[in-house]
Amino acid sequence: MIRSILVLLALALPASASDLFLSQLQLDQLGTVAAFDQGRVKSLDSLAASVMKRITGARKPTGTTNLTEMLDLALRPEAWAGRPTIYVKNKLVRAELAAAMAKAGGSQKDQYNLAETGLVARRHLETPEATATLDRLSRDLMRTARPVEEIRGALSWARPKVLRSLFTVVAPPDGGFESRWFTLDDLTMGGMTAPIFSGIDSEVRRKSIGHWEALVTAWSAGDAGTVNGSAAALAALLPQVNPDPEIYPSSARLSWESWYFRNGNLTLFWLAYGFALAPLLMAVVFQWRGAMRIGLAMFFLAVLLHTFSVGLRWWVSGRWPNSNMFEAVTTAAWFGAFFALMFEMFLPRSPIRGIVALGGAGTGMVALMCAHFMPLSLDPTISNMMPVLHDVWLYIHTNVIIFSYALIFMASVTAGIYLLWRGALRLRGQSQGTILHAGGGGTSMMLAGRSRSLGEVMDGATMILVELSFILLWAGIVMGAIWADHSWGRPWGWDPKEVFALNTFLVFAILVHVRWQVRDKGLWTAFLAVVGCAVMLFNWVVINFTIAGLHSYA
Amino acid sequence: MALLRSLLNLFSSVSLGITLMVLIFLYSAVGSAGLPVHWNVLRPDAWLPLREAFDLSEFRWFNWWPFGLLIGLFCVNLSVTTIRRIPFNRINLGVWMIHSGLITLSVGSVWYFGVKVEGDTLVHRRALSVSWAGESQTIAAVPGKRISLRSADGRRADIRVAAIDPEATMEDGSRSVKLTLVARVDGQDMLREMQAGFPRSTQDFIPGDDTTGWSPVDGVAVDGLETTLSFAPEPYFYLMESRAVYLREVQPDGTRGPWVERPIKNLPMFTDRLKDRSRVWPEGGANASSQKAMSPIGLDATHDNDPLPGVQLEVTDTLRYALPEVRRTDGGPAVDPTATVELSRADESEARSFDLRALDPAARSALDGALEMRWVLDESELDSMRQVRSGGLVVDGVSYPLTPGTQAPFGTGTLTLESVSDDLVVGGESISVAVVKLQQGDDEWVRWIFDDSTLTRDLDALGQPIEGGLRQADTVTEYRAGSGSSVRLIAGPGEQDLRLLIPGDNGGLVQDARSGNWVDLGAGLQLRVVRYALRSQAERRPLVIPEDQRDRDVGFLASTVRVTCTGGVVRRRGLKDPWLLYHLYAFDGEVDLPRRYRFEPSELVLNDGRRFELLYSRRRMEMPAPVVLDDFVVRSRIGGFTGETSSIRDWTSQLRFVKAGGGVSDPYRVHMNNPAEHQGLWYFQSQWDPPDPARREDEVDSLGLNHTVLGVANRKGVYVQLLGTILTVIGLVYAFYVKPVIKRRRLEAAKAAAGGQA
Repeated sequence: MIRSILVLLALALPASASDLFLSQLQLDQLGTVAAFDQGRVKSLDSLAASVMKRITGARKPTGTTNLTEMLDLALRPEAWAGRPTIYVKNKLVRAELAAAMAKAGGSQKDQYNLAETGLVARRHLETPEATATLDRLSRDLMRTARPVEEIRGALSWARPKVLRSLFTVVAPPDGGFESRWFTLDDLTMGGMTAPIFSGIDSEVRRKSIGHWEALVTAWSAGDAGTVNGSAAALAALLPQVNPDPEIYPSSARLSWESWYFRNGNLTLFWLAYGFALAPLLMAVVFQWRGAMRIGLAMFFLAVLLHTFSVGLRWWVSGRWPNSNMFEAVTTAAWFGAFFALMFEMFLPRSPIRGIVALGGAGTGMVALMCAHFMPLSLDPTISNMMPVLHDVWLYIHTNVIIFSYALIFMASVTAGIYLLWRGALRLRGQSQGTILHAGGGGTSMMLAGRSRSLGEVMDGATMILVELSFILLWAGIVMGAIWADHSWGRPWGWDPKEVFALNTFLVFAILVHVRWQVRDKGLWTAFLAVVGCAVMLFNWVVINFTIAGLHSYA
Repeated sequence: MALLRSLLNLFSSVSLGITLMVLIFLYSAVGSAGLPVHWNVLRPDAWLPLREAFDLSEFRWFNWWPFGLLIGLFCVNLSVTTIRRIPFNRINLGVWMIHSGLITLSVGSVWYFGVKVEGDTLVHRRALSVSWAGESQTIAAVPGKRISLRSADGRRADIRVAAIDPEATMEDGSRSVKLTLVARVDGQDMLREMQAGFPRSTQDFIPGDDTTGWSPVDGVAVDGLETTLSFAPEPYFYLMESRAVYLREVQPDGTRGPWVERPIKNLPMFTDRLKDRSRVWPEGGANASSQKAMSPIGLDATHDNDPLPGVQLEVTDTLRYALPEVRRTDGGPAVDPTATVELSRADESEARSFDLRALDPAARSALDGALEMRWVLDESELDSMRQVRSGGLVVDGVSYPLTPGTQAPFGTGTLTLESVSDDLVVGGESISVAVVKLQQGDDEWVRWIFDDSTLTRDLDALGQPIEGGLRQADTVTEYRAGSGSSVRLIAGPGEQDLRLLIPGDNGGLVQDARSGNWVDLGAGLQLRVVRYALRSQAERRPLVIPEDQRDRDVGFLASTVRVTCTGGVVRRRGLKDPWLLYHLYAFDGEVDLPRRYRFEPSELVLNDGRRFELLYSRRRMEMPAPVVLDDFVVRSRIGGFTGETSSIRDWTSQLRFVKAGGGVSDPYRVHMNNPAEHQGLWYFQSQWDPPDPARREDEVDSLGLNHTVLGVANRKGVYVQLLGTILTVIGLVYAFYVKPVIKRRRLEAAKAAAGGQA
């Protein structure tokens, strides 16, 4: 374990003389120029993040920025010859490759590196032993073909020629929306005479070519000063190629996009929710007013930060962020947290004060932690929406569904606390008298207005969240059916995602009816709320990642 | 009466409702996700697809009687409980609405799924009709398609679609399909450009001195050659999850009748059914224990125009994942020695197998000629083979041995022999070549040195010929093909004779190869003959794909069925190939076959000489009116279409429907999230024809957009379903938020009344 941590630390730190050059580079300005990537114009930092993710996963072999590593791989490939660069996610494939590496005479250190970090040098993947292993694994379509495809993809992406072809930072000089963008190499090869670039001001053109050539030469020579100068000059020149706002995004948008990606997509805000969680928990359990105030204030701050991150992504991407897994998870959590904030603000005297905020903080923290620590599963790349998603129902159906999912998770938090409380009582031999009044559910509890035990309050909070999520989930499913009807020609196709959304609803339908039938309503409610959450998570995780279906994008 | 009361009590039970909901949950879960068979549920193989074990698709699983029974019981339970146990009043209005909404939804769903028809259709954008010398033919306008017409007096016209620009712009700015065809008509070459919808803009060209090689002509280049571009009406759509065998007669002149469908009922779709494993090649997944036999499924002639009403067809076997493979097996009429050999390292760490055919120059050698199979008529031939003919690589007059890795000085640099290939048959000629790597300073390039020195050439690092001929031509390189340098498998002269000739001193070493045992070749290599057939013949059988290599994304494209036919009218050999490959659509033939689609019918010959074709596909249904594709538009995102789907914003098919009295309807625009309805059927955008570069020399590039694939479906009962769901939503809101308030008010009123009384 300690060795693993040391290996990871070693990977994160600049370690050699060549890395000294990298650490001296200043490419912040260059990172904010616009780059074209498959139908989207994004900041170069954003492009580099998505490209390097395909090669090194979430690792940074040199500990510098994605853009620095991308340029270094493209312009100084010899520095990367023996460096573990290609990320192997699948552990079975890692083990097989480590065995092939041992057979080919690879060092134990490299094998260990691969096993622990998943990173392997290109030369180890190009030995006859590794090639034969990959060939064999690629035939197992069920388990290893896809990881092998990703490795081969990474090898291909990491080729200098391919990487250089991705620097599409020269806007179309003629200003056409559907016109092609060019790389700096295209511009250099075209020189001052190519008619296709005649629309560019000759001075801008000449200087751009000169600075790009200087940057390439200086990079190979390890001259950080010249690289920094040329990069800054290019960052000033490239927006002048075609300043049409229809084609070239504003510098503010590009700068914020770069900032957003350089700061890990702002997923570190999970800490803010984490800080709110502890005082809220103390406030709920021990009824400490001071803790309640601190907890709610911190929760307010956390929601504010989360709102900023969702809003920033919305502005940068030009669309409401709910089109991929990363966005669905972070936005769902935002919906839940925002609802909790509103609830606490507008119902300050409710008997469940602080509990909904507690659920919201738990939901926000878990969602942002997932996004932060699993960037390969929850890919933060801002990409284009699939054509089928361009519909008003995307905003209605998807948001209603993910809001209901957030509420279901929040309900599981309160239900979990209830179960812990029941467990604690049982350990203390005080389980008698805990079979609670349940009445008409959460609203009845809210209206009753008498003082209650923690168990009653938690049960009521769970029911408030379950009832609202129950309605929203059903409404969301119906809206999805209406969308599917005019998109795919059928409202319901028994797609796994649809089936498990319905199954989640069924669990809550069972919960509502079980509550009528049993004496220990609180226990069954809490248990079934947790089961419902598990089914919802199963739908979101297992169905999405393992079982194919029509909804694989969300 | 007591029984009825018991039943009513049972169906008034909330516990029964909960039990039924739990059962519906479990049924849905195992049908949709499968059964978990591993603790790590994120592993793709952790889920056993139970539904497929029952040979049911998702649609069929949820239309199967157990699910219907569960839903039926649930509805009865819901109705009886609501009526008997929930008084209809203000308080319970929400519950009544929820329950009646769910029952309405169920009724709507029974209607919807009971009459559901769903499928798809492929519609070509344009058809090209050509008529000449009294002959005419129509084909789909697809780049690379060909038409050959022969006049009564023996003259010939060959026409080929050379290119299609799907988005050509006219002078007035309008868009249209522009088709370019090249033709040789009675010896006269010509090129014609045609614009759909603008017949007057047709322009002919003949070979000329223009930079393009073609010169425009006024009028027509060839008299009598008439070509038109018209709509290509499609009358059918193909039903999802259905199967059928299509049958048609082939006339002696080659013309074919229309396909007539014979439905295949109850065909297993997910599990293999194989009566006899000898019907497939033994490798691959054929040894899977899951393969079972099935009762033959008769294919009844259900259509009046069935061309063979008296002949019974049966499906006897079905395989979900199999690839047809032609191999040579023993039992042919003539000597045609074939062997499969396996070459391996001595420690068996790496092995490769090769199929060799002694009498076929194109198939008798492998590994650049290092491994060969020969047939000898007598021992003297073998003896002569053992006499090594001196061959070699000659650099500036000095000979070098033909061992890969041999190095020779080359100017100031080095020449390294990489490989030799002897007796390659190119264009009917036999040639031999040595491939060498040349290095001078930092320069590296490759030279192919042919035994015919005029063919010798240099290639750059990318394998492209270097302009200006040979680099450093003053250093002369020559190659003389030798003999005896390869390992040879010698068949003959006796029928049982199969020997291995391993090159070496004194004529090499001859070893018996029939035993199948490994033979040591030296240099850490060994070889064995896995299979040998003296009188081999080509045989086509499916090779079952092993389970871990099955790609679910291919759908049913890798599926195949074996069909047999019975009746005295069938020749003993029956079907030429009884294994029919799955086709997405029953195309008429090459004439309307789009690129990337399959058309491989099987032939059936009767005793009276009549010929028929069989094709395995899906059932089809006639649409109320044939549909035509007027236009197809791809809307891309910023930067234009890059070849990646992610750069596309939307696809639009502009459709028209053929009117009963002739002519076509006004256009309907179908694009993502925007289907169109016509006479009870809904049409929605499903797939498109992307750009498709040529894969072979005789192909041409396609810019795509030559067809569209539309989903076609009905949607009866949808509004009843919608009504049910809306009722449920309102009921839920009422039950959770209105009812507690009413109850609370009543409670407070009762308290107030009680307080007043006190």
